[in-house]
Amino acid sequence: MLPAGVRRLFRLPTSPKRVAREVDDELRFHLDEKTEALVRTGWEPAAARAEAERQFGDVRRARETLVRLGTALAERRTRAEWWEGALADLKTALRGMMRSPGVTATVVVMLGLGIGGAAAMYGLLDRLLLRVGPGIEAPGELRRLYINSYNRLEGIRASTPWLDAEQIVGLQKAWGLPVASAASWTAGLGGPAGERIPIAMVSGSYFAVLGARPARGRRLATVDDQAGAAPAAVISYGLWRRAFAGDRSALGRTLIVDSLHLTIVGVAAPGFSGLSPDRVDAWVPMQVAGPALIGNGLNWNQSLAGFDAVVRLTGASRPEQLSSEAWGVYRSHRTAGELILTSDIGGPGDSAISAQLAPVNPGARPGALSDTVRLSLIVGGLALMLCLIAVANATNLLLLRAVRRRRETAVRLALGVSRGRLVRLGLIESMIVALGGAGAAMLFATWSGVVLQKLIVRQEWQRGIVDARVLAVATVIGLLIGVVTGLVPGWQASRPEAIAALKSGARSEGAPSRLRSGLVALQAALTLLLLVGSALYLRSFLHARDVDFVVAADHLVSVDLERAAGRPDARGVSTDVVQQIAADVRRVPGVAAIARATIAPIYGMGGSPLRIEGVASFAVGMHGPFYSEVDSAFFGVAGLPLRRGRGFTQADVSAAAPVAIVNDAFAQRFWPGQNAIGKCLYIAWSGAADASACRQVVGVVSHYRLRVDDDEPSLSYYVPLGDRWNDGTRALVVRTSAPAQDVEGGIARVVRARLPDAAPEAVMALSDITSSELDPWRSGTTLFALFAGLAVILATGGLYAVVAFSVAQRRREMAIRVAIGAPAKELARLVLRMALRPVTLGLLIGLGLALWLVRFIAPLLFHTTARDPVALGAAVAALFVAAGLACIGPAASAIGADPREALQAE
Amino acid sequence: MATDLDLLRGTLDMLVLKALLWGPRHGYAVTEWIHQTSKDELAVEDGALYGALHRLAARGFLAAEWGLSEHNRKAKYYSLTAKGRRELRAREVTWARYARAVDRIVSTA
Repeated sequence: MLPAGVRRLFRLPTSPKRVAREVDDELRFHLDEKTEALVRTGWEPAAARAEAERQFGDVRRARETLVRLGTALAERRTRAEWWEGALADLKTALRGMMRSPGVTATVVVMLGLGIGGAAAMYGLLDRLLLRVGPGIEAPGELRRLYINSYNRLEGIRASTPWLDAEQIVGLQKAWGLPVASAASWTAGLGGPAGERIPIAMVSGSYFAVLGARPARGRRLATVDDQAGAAPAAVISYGLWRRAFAGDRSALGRTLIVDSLHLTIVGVAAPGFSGLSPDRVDAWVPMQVAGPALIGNGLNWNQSLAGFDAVVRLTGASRPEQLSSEAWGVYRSHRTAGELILTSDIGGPGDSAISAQLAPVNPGARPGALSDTVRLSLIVGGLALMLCLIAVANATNLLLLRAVRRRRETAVRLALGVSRGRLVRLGLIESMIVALGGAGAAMLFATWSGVVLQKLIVRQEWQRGIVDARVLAVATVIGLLIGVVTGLVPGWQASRPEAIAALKSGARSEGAPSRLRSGLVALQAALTLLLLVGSALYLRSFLHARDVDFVVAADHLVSVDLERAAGRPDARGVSTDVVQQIAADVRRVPGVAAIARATIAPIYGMGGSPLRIEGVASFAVGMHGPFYSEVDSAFFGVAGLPLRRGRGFTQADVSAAAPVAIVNDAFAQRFWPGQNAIGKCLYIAWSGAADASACRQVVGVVSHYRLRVDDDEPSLSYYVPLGDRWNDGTRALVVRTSAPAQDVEGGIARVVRARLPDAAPEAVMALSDITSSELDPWRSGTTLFALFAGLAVILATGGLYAVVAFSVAQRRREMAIRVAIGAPAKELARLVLRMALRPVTLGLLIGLGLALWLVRFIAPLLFHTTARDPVALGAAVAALFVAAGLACIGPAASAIGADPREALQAE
Repeated sequence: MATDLDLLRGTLDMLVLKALLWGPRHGYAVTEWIHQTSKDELAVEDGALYGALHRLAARGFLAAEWGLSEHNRKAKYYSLTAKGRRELRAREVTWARYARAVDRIVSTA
């Protein structure tokens, strides 16, 4: 290949037209010379010409050949030259980047953070709102049954009905259509690992209705879902790979879940998890698995009410008719008492009003959005904002660099480098940045997918939030944005006005350009939004944390002996075993004290028929009154201090005079302004000798709240617990000296040693319950704080870049100011003013937006008004502090400007 | 026949390269030199020689440049590049060996 220099030297043709002209010139010269030579030897001119052409051969053919050769050569040269130029540009771009590695790295990181975060959020929203999971045929035809219920607080609300197996059978009969139903369950997987896996009990037509095709084997069919059918199961693709190493021979082998031996008949398609994204490892027919897993002693098909109902609409089916039939089935299986009881308790009672069929895709779910979806929407919005901030910053930094290089660009233009070539240089630079940004975006998207799963979804999904598709989207968007952000500065720098920069010595332009200021203002506005969100959530979290449960939950472990005994149909644990367990638990390191009760505080609540002295009637509501039997150690162990009177003694159990203890809230509600001690309660519990006997109140203890967002504490009354427990509900309440979570495991081990069937939730640190109640605010705060922190860092960096650049441009002016004796304070103020103008503008916009947008998170806050002045003030203050920090460096540089140095530099 | 054509082309190329060994010439001068040196015994058309010139230029054996002829006409001058010189040397060696071999066969009575 000829180097470009040689081409210019010889002025070789590039266009096909020029090629043809040059060939013509060359041939004409040859024929003219030849003719003249012949004429000189005595030929007639006309004859000489003819002889010259004869000697040449076929002139027309020769010309065609030469033109073809020349054109091909020219094309090859142009291509080579383009590549050569691109390579040179690449080298120039890399050199330029190496000169300011900080800027390049920052831009790459910003793009990665912004786009990666946005992509992960897209993945989450896609799964939560937009799309039904994979492997389902024509999801648009599927309809899910919803029950509309009325609720005083929220109005009419549609919810998935919790149907039992009997109702599913009833529905199938009423509709005359196959119904897809599933209920999730956790079961122990047989084998050495003994892990517990999520499974789904499904109707026989489940796979057929969803149109799900298995990856291997067959799907479950109606014949599998009949009492007495051979036990069959379809396992998930994930379990197949994990437990069977993807071996084809897994089909026909036995899957053991709990006590159930199932033959594996199929492997579901990769990623298939039915209509919900939650992880499922195996699908088992409900008529076969139900009796075995739940226990035949109980009426299993009425006690497991966890099924949904999904039907495929065909052309002939009429949704209204199906709804009304479903409503009939739903009602007929609900006892009248159940419906009345719930609406009667005085709290925000529910009473179902109708059924409806709605599309299954998550976005079409009728009624209000769930908290998860709402939080995801908010965080999605935030991620998008962060993406905008990052992109604005990246553009700003690249713009600044382009301006800094204006002299260089002007020299290039003056040397005759074409504008297209300059844009290409910009494009190559931005491609490098974009590739880096896309890579960083992939990394960050993967990471934030894991974080979002933990913080928002809080359970495992069949497929992670960030899959190959999301990563591909992130990469493409990263590339696009990278190219665009790179092109804007490149275009700006190549404007003809740039020539002027040569003459002015690049020292004009005192104020930052409007575009740059605008970007800074935008960042300030978005950052303020995120700060306001964090502040509001933090306030909510602090309020929620300060809620006084009174019960010292971080040092209490509940041992639910009913659950520990295994299946609920077991007749309970003998008193001997309970005493042995109590003795074992007492020996576990970290256990301080132990008490017995019918139920542990916070963990649950009990009830009994009750009449209260001096109270004509009362309704049992969400806050009680709740009934417990407790031993003499209970109040001390649970940390419920005695307010008045006395606690229980060992003598109370057998004493002739029955006694009771109530809590503060109980006393205030029923006997306001009176002394509760000495009042009578009449309790008709099964062990009571005489329900009409007065049970005298001997003490008043502190109350506690059952749930963090309860507005009022629960009402409780307690009676002494006898040695012989005659009812299945019973618990050990254990007080620990170390944090409850650390001791929980040790206690669970000794319980399991005596009762191997113990359910995992039988031993539970109460702090798990109280702390999970704080989760919405904790994760909201974490999310907002995470994004706000990132936004502050990004925006501070961006502002610093703009201010530092402006100061550098006005260095001469600063030096002159120093020379004529401007005090440092004056210069610092000058720099600060440069920063504050765009920041204040952004602040005003952000504040306006925040006041308008908070309505969307208002329902998720706890005891915090959405326009909480403290939160707003804190956010504004934080923004100004960030702006101040961004100014420190540039201000110091302005104050330190040396007049001599600055003037000599020009 | 492809081999014949290749042989002919290879020979032409060598002649053209040889014609430029002593300095840049325009196309007409190259054809004249070949006709004169061979005493017109090689019946080669000028058009074919131009084809060879252009092909060699495209392969980088020759460099081309527009200049003025002895009669002040615009003419395209060709000169050997370093690569062209190496090519010529290689072809001369091959040609000599080939010619000797053919000669040996033909002169064996």
